[in-house]
Amino acid sequence: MTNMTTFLTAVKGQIKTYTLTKATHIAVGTGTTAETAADTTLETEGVREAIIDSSEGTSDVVVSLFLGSTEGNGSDYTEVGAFDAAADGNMMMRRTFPAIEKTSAIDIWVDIEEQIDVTQ
Amino acid sequence: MTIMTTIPQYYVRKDSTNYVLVSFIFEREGNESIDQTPFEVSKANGANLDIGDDVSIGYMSGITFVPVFSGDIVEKSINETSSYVLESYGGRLNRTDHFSVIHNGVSPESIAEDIIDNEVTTLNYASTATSGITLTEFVVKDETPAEAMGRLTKLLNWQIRTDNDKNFYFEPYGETVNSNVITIGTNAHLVTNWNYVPGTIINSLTFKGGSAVFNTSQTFTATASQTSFVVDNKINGTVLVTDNAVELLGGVDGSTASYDYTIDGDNKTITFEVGATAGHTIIVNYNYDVPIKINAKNDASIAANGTFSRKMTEENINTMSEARRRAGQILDTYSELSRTSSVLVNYDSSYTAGETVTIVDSFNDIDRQLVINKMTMSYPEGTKIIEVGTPKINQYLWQKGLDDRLRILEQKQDNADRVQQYRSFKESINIKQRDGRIKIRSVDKANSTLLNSTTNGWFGTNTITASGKQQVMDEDDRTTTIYGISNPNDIMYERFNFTTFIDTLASTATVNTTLEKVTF
Repeated sequence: MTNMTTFLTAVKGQIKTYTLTKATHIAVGTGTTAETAADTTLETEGVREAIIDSSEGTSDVVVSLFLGSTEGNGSDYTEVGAFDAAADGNMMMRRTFPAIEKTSAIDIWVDIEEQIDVTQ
Repeated sequence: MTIMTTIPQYYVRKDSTNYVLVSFIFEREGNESIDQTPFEVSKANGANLDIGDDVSIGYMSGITFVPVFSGDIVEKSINETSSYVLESYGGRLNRTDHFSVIHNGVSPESIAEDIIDNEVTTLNYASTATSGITLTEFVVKDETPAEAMGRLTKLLNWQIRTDNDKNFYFEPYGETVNSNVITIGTNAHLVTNWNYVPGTIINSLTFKGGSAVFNTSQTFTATASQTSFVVDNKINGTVLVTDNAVELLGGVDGSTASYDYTIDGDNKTITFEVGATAGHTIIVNYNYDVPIKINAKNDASIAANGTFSRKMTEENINTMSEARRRAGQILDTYSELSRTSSVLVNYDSSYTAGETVTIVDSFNDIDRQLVINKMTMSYPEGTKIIEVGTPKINQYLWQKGLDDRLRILEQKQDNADRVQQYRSFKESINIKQRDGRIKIRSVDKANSTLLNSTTNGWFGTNTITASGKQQVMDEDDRTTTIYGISNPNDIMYERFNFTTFIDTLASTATVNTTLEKVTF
């Protein structure tokens, strides 16, 4: 997983502006180009769904995407990203992965875990 | 090297009497087996120690007995010397009556605590580890506590252990971290080579739990004489079929009774005896199983090591979230190439089986945390050897050693055609909190010239005097306001926890030094 530069800049900006919005959606796509911190969108976005589950641990946050048997079928998904809007918006992090063929017999669940390490 | 240690005289202590030990070999292996320690005393002392005795093995420190391990004597043989086998208190889980109980909607650790509290009352459940897993139903039917606990340890791949105070622990391998670092060549040395064991990697895991039953209806618009209606899921049990809101009578293929349709659940098919009328609405209401079946992969490990797949079945897991959590734990633990070795450590060191310990072996480029899978102490040789590596994989869970018949049964249970692909991606944000001022200078008055006398300081000829506080050289009544600082050596980070450099004249900022916030 790679944090986008815009996202990290927003994290730093919190000290002054408090404008960072939370991740609300996760999208999967079929792009295969390796992620870089400068990416602003998925390479080829396929399906974007609202975050179905989230949890917060001592030093980590997990947000989850679920694609059921009727969602997003017919594609081999190879990239995932977290966004702060249902459309467009800011991409916070992106990752490519070996293809998962999505059919009605396959559900997909993706966890994105952001570990926050604070050192004195 | 500081391996050499003075070995004290060891004793077997029963009640408050010590009996001199001739020898023992103490092995501790987590839940691989109940710890059993063969020991030997003189023939004369044999009369004082019997099967069932609760004894400790240890040494005297002044007038205080220091128990190294304790347990119950379970075997005895006598001839020229008296030989015994001491079993750790965990053995009491075997030496208890069978019991039956049903637990609903509780965690495995809660079940374990209940077993110890109610069935093995001589032990005290002292573990605080939590799994985050809730079992819908866990049935114990005529089992010993050891058998029931064995199933729980297999379910979570946790370990059980007892200590000398009869405390019972049910916890993940390596839950306790021994902070004493093992440095090969300094406080330990290798007994065996580092063995890399690729067969223990798991980076592609198919995890199957139980099944959840759901009900649904599917609607078809019949074509002329259509007899076959295929639903989306495998049918579990009977169905309700209506033809334009008229309920049809279902039957079994081959039956002589009159019926309207038959069910082929595996092929998801309802077959009408007489073709439907074109345009009629056919509704099929049926139950179907949603298998708890997850495929989880660690792509980075697969790229680095190739694919090492395993299949795991645990019928007690019956929600997807629990299965994902379990699969994630397994991949986190076993996705890396395992390495194992045996290490000779100080005899009086504190390392014991089940602990996590950091091992540094600069010669072999190893600096990592590993789990102590086994600890062996030998007396009177005075050696202590620990086996370190990745936590052992539960043999039963990983289908090793299952015969073909059981494998076929597993496959039959796993005929579901739905699977959830699960991936977990991680990223981190590192935030470093810095002190606002890295360097602060103060003036030592004893070694300084001060010009803050109330009668003005003297520095050569007194020419111009400021308003009674300072002797200002070459300038009268100078005022100074600091607007900022230059920061050439990175000695200052603004955290807003002090206001020295806030320009209160030119800025409208409000600084909260307690919360370290600034607002405009």
